[in-house]
Amino acid sequence: MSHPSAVRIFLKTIVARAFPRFVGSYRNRTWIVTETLLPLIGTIAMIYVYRALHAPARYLGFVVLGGVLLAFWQNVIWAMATQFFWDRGQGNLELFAMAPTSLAAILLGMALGGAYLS
Amino acid sequence: MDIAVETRALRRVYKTRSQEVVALDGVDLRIGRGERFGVLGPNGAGKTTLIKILVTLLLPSSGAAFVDGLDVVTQFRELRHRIAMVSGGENVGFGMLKVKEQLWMFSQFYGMPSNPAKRRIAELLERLGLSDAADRRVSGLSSGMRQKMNLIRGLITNPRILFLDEPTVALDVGAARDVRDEVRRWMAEDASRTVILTTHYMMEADELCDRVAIVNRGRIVAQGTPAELKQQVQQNAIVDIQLSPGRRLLDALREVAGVAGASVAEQDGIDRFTLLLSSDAALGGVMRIVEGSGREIRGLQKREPTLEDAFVKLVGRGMAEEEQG
Repeated sequence: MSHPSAVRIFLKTIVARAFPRFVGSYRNRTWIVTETLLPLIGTIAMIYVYRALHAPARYLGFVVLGGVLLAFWQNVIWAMATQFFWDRGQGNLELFAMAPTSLAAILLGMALGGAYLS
Repeated sequence: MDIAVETRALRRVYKTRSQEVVALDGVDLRIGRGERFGVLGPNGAGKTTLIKILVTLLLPSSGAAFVDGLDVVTQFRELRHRIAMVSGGENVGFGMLKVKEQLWMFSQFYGMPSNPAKRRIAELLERLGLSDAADRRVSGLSSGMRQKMNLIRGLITNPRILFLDEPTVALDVGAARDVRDEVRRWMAEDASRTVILTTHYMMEADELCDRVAIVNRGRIVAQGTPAELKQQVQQNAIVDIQLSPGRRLLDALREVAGVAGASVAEQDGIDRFTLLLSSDAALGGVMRIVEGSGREIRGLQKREPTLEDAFVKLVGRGMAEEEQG
């Protein structure tokens, strides 16, 4: 029996697993609060702490940049972790594991979806 | 016989810190290609463990299992292209996706080209009467529609062997019939396809399966065609007695001389006992127990044996038996 190549399955899996995150960003808008507003408040808090320490003002731009990057990666990793936990509870993980694909591709798809949303 | 599934002395032990639980204890099974094979057993018998090993989700502790000629432990990558599993009451997927989107997503995990996958999905949605729901969100489906969608998910990739784990559980009569009809139709399209089904519904197994195996406490206690299994209780008289609720009777009835097996199920506030009697004379002893209990007899019938009766005889209790009797 001939099957699609492992590379083809790997790439298709990444796109397919990211797909619910892409679609979700339009159909379920709660991310605006959890992935935009809350990180923004976190970054603002960092700036206030930095200024309270009387640190040099010329480095303030790095604080903003650091806050944004921290929020970005936190969103990606947090989204992946919650999705993974949710997939396990729903029974999705079993179906992913049963498919002739790689779990690494599933994780990459989740990360790609999370990165897009962030 | 061309073999689709074979297990040899298959054993699976779950270990916790304090104990070991033997879920499968030396299961030997041979399922022919083209068969609709049922695996029956009470809760905790080992059915799901067996299925999970066969679909490569669990490793056996010892023994061997081959599906479509491939070893489930060493050749699982190739095997996963050839099988699919659908479980009853599945809530898998993503509620925000539309039905056709969700089905497309799962098809991509098998590397299917998008356009053929979409055509196949449309065809299966049509066949199962779900075309109108193709653009509905998964979260808005009824349980019957959701299960049909799950069945479609299992069929998109055209597996050679389809595993169905309680596929009609909690479905209404119409939806369950549609699922069974589709399984039959799918099998009829290609003689080399095989279905392995676990179910709690004896009538479903009797109606759908060419052969069944009864699993109890990790072992296969009997296997054969439904007719062969029913023959095992052919020499018994089967008596159904409906009693008003009251004190526990099941153990006392099982101890009456001539009672080969007994089970009970509660329905509409009435305890429905099924007794397998090795001779009609045992009925006297049964009636004495019933009269002594003070329970009111609401009905009593003698009837032809069913697969459920064979199950009761082999396992010692009914599939849906609760301990209220």
